[in-house]
Order: sequence, then structure tokens, then C-alpha cells
Amino acid sequence: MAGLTVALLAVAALGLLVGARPLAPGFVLDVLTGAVERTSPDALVVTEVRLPRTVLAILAGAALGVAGVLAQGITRNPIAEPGILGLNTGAALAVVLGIALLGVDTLSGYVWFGFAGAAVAAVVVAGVAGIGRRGSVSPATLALAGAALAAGLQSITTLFLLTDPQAFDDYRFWQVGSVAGRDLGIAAQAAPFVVAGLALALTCGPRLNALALGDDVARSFGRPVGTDRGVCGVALVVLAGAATAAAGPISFLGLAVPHLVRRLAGTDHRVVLPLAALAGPVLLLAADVLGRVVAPPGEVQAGVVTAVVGAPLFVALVRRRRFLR
Amino acid sequence: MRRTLPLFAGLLIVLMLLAGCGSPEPGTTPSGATPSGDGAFPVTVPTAFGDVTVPEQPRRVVALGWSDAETALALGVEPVGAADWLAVGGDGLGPWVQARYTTPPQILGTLEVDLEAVAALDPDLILDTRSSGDRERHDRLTQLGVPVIGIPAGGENYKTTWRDQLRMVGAAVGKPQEAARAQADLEQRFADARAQHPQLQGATVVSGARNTLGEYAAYTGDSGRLAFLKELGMVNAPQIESQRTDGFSVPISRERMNLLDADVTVMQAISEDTSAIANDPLWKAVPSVAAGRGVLLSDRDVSQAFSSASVDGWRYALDRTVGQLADAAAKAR
Repeated sequence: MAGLTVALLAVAALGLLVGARPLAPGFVLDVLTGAVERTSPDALVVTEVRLPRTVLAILAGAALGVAGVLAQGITRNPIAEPGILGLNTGAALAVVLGIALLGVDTLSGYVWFGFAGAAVAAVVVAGVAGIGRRGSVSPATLALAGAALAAGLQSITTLFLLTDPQAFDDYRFWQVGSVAGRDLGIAAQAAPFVVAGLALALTCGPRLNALALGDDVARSFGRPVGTDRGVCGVALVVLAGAATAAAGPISFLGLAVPHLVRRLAGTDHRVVLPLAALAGPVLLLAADVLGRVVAPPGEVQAGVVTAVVGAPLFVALVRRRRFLR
Repeated sequence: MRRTLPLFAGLLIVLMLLAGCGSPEPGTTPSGATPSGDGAFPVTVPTAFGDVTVPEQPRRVVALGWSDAETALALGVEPVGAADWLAVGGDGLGPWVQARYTTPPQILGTLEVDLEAVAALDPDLILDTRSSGDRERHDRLTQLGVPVIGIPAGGENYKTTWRDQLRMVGAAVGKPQEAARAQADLEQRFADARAQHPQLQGATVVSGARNTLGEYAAYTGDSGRLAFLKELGMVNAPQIESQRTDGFSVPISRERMNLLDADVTVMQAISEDTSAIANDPLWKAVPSVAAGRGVLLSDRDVSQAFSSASVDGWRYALDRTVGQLADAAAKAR
């Protein structure tokens, strides 16, 4: 815990100090403390670029890391991630509908569509998976319903995109996932949801530990399995929805963070959840900082970096752990 | 709310197809139906994919390249199908185009070409002079057995100049003299502007754009936008000129907005209104902008006409931007 906290502070410092424009650490500190005028282009880089994206990366990273643990815990599926319940595709379709039907063309407008889309998708998946059942929903059904819905939503999204690629130019950028170019207003829009989602998620430690034993065993211990899964599901939707709405669909992070944390700290969800809230931001911030410096004078979006760097890392992890028996 | 409403567009296409059933037989449609006599067929047009021969006066022209439709229309030929690159909607023509359609064309996709939709229009000439320049795209189009006028020899993606486009389209539709007249007219207008505003001569300029996500990019030397500014005598700023790229723009990190600094900085928005740029503290802090030498193309029509790199578009953009550009250049002296 202490190690990850230090790592987070270190990466957050990097987030403020490293970028496409070289700035002296002392100068950055002066700007942040208000010791120099915040009007020069150099100072604006700190206040308008690095600070917002660092804050956003911490919020989105924490949300995605914890959402990944929740998704894997709820479905008892080690390769589950927030997208498993159709959340990403739901968010994407809602953004596309917003562009197509209402002419939404600002990032702060996308936020609400993304959030609503994720929520609706989750409700639909839960509904589909729960049809004809009382109380609990089987993890396999949940994952299958999510995958099926995601495929369906994706094709509708594609349909819209193909009718007019020009009009959906901005969507193409959004759907890569990035924490750049978003001001603190976006972070402020997402923050309440992330905080609420994290608070709810922290109550899920014992719930997920019980679910991990299987529904029948959990029930024999007196756990309300349906309620447990429902509460954690709500936290998952809120967190994944908020992160996706604010930063676009960032792939891979929700998948990798739980595995990294479990390698560090075992399988007790009461430990894994808070650690994931620290590890998520570390990874996302590191990806963002890397993306700032690899392709001058432009930048590479954090979503691209997580995919490019993360995928091989994940394969290595899978091979060493052999958790896919 | 200029975005095409896809459902509505779908409905419109269905209606247009229905309406098409009652329209005259192919061959009697008015597209280029009156040979003016100045173009003799067959005519051979050299392209990047080899010489293309148009056997006779085309009557059903499908215009797929960026600004191909409005170029054909300016020469008196109405395409039956057209791509709407700038997403202006309707018949795909911005308000800067003087000639209008008597029969609106079927609007076709831009990046992705729907081969079936093109074939259904029964074309006898396909214009694709300013496009990606992919051989694959070209090969697919040639499957239709119709002359396809692709990008010019030595051309690259979307970098076809207005002169090449005008000349190739003019030759292919049998209107070489009209094309030459249109070229002379625009060249004269640029010459007049240069004479009237000598301060533009040699002034450095950066032409940039910003997308909805707040990402900035600068257009590079051989892009259409910069070509417009070069016609006025301006030169690409050295720090952008030295960037290497295969495309027509380079991304500029928000941290390095100082790269946008020049005697004059021209900025436009990609599918958003320019208030986001005007309110961006990073934009306002670019030295040239802070000194009042930033030219924000806040009128969407002007911005798109500037991007069209067509004769009509540039006439329109020239009239509406040359004053601002000259004022900004004057402040740099």
C-alpha cells in the first residue's frame, strides 16, 4: 500500500513535470504555488495542460482499475473487464447518437451521453441475463449477455459511422481514449461519480470475497448473493461510465490492473480494491506521460499507449501465472 | 446543426431513388449534354495510375474526389453522384459555389466508396482526382469498366493542387478551355491581391486546425490550405516547414503551441464552432495571436471554402480573408 502510494505520488509529479515542452521543475512548482504570474505560455502549459490531464488521469485510472476488479469479481471471470457488460460499446453508441441526432460536438457534451449509454447498457444486460430468474444472476449468463449486447451495439454504431465518416471525425478521436485536451471542467463533471463509485466499491471487499467461493457456498454463509452482485454492479457501472465518459474508452487498463494488484497482494478483495484504486492511476499516468514525449511535436493518446505497451505485458503475465487453466 | 442526420439522409436517398424512377432515361439527363465543341474526344488524361482515355463526351459523371463535383459543376457539367467531403449537407455544395444543380446528385460516401451505389448510377466517367490515392481504391473503381480519373502522376493523398484538379477534370469532361479560363481568372485575382497588399509578400504563416478534443495540427507545405496562402506570396513558417510528414498536417502538442507562432497564424475549427479556440488560453498565448496577428476563420462557410481548394471556394475565401490576412501581416512589419 505504501509502495503504491509512493509510486502514485512519483508518477503524479512526473505528470506535472514531464511534457512535450521542457520546463524546469522549480518553475512548475512556482506556477503551482502561485509564486509566478500564470499568464506566460510556459505557465499556461502547467495550469491548462498538465494539471487538468494529471487530475483526470488519476480519476479515470482509479475508476478503471477498481472497475476492473469489480468486473472480474462479479463475473468470476479472470479476463473480464469493464467492457464485458457492454459498457464501452453502450457509451460509444450513445455518443454517436448524440452526434448524429442532436449535433453534440463538444467534449463536455459527450460526457453525459457516454455516461447514460454505459448505464443503459448495464441495465439491459442485467435485465437480459436476469430474465426468468429470481434473485441472483449467473456470472456466465451475465458475461454472455454483455458480449451479445456489445456485438449488437457495435454494429449499430458502425452503421452510423459508415453513413457519414466526415461527420464522425471527432468520434474517431474520442474512441481512442485520452486524457489530453480535457479541461478541469470535465474532471469536475466526472469527479462526483468517481468518488461515489469508489466509496460504494470499497464496501464490495467482503461481497466479492464471498462471491469468489461460488454462489452456493456464499449463500450457505448467509450472503445475499443477488444484492451483493447488484451493489458491486452499480459501483462498476458508475466507475466505468464516469471514466469512459471523461477519457473515452481506454482499453486494457481494467483488465491488467486487477492482475497486477493480485500479484502484489494476493486475492483478498478488501486489499485488492483499494490497491487497484492506486495502481490504476499509476499505470494511466505513466502511459500518458510516455505518450507526451514519444512523438514530438505531437503526442500519442494514452489509450494507444495502454494498448501498445499493455498488451505484451499482459500476455507475459498470463503466461507466468497460468491462471487460464 | 449541420451534421447530416443519418436516418433522414437514408430516407432522403430512398426518396431520391424513387424519384429517380420517374426521371428521364440515362443519356437524356442534362449532365454535360451540350458539347461545347472545344473538347475533342477521345481524350487521354495522364494519372498516377497511367494514362486514362475517355472515349466520348461523358454524360453521367460521378465525382468522388475532394471538390471534384464543384469543379465539374463550375465547368458546366452536373455530376449525377457526388461525395460531400466537407459535410456541408444537402447537395454537397457550399454557398460559395455559383453554379447550382438542376437535378441534385446522389450523395455518396467519402473515405469509403460504396461501389454498388456508384454502379447503380450507371456512370460513364468517375472523377477521383483528389483522394487518398490508394491503388486499392483505384483498382476497385476501375472494376466498373468506366474511365477513372485518379490523382495526378506524382500526386499524393489529398494533395492534388487546384490547378491539376481543374486541368484534369476539364480535360476529362471535354471543357479544357473553360478550365483554362477559370484558372486564369483565379490567378488574376491572386495577382491583384498580391499587388494590393504587398505586405503579404514573404510574410511567414502557419495554417492550423483544432478538433473537438482540443488537439491542434498545422498544415504542411503541400496542403491546399497552405497553397492558398502561398498564392498570396506568404511562406510556410520554417519550424513547420521542417517537420517531416507523409500526410498534409502535423499534430502539435498543446504544450508546444509556440510552434504555431509566425508573422500570421491562421486557425480553423474541425466540426466545432471557433469559440472553443477563441476561449482557449493556450491559443491566446501564442505570441502572434497575443500580438493581434491571429486570423481565426470563425465563419464556417469561409473556413470550408478555404479548405475546398477549388476555384469557386478560393474566390469566396479570398474576398473574405485577404483583408484580415493583410492587416495581420502589416502588424508584423
